[in-house]
Amino acid sequence: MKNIRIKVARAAKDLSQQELANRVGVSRQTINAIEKGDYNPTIRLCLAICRELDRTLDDLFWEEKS
Amino acid sequence: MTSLYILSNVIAISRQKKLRRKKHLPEEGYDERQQLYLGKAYRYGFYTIVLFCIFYSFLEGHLDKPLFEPVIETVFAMSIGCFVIFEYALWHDVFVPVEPRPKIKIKLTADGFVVIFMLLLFLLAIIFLPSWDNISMSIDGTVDILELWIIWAILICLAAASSLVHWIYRRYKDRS
Repeated sequence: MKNIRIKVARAAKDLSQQELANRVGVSRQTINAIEKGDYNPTIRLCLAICRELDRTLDDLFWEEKS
Repeated sequence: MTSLYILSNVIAISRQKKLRRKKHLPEEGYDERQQLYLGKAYRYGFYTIVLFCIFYSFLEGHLDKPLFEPVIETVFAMSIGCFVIFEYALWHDVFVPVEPRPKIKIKLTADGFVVIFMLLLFLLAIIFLPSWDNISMSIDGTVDILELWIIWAILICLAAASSLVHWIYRRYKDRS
């Protein structure tokens, strides 16, 4: 499932995938895979992304039951 | 046939190098996703080698004659395994480092030196063996050369494993 919230938060901070990847210390392809929902990041990477985008874990990764 | 396998691996490696530069891979190593897929790539490479060996032994048994010399068989198996590793890794945007990275300093420890020395001796034995037909000739009628080679290969594996464990322990110790 695609994670649109990361993409929106990243765009709000005016960051490219490459810039975000450099800040959290991963490759651009990994950020792309997370946004596309192809890869579930570890909690460590989730926290790093949240810190860089000034959001909480709930904002970016929590999914409500449908 | 051998040149075909070597050529395919050379193509795979050159593609890796080209795409590595093009996609601006970070130089400090792999991230968590890449490590995950790299582990899978090595696993599938290993399975490929095992499957190749099984298939090849069945084929040889069916034809009732050796198709190639043992060294060529090993080169085939290794080439196919490496090819699978490279291609699987490439498919998942993981680039196997084929060029030495300047940031990592490789220190040759004592056991590493022993492994290299034993490997050199092993290669020299292969090169200077007069003929593959003489592989079963006996020394004093007790131990044949093939058995000696197997013992030698086991020793090399043990020394390599010891070296690897030592290296991992040192890295872990440095990090903590």
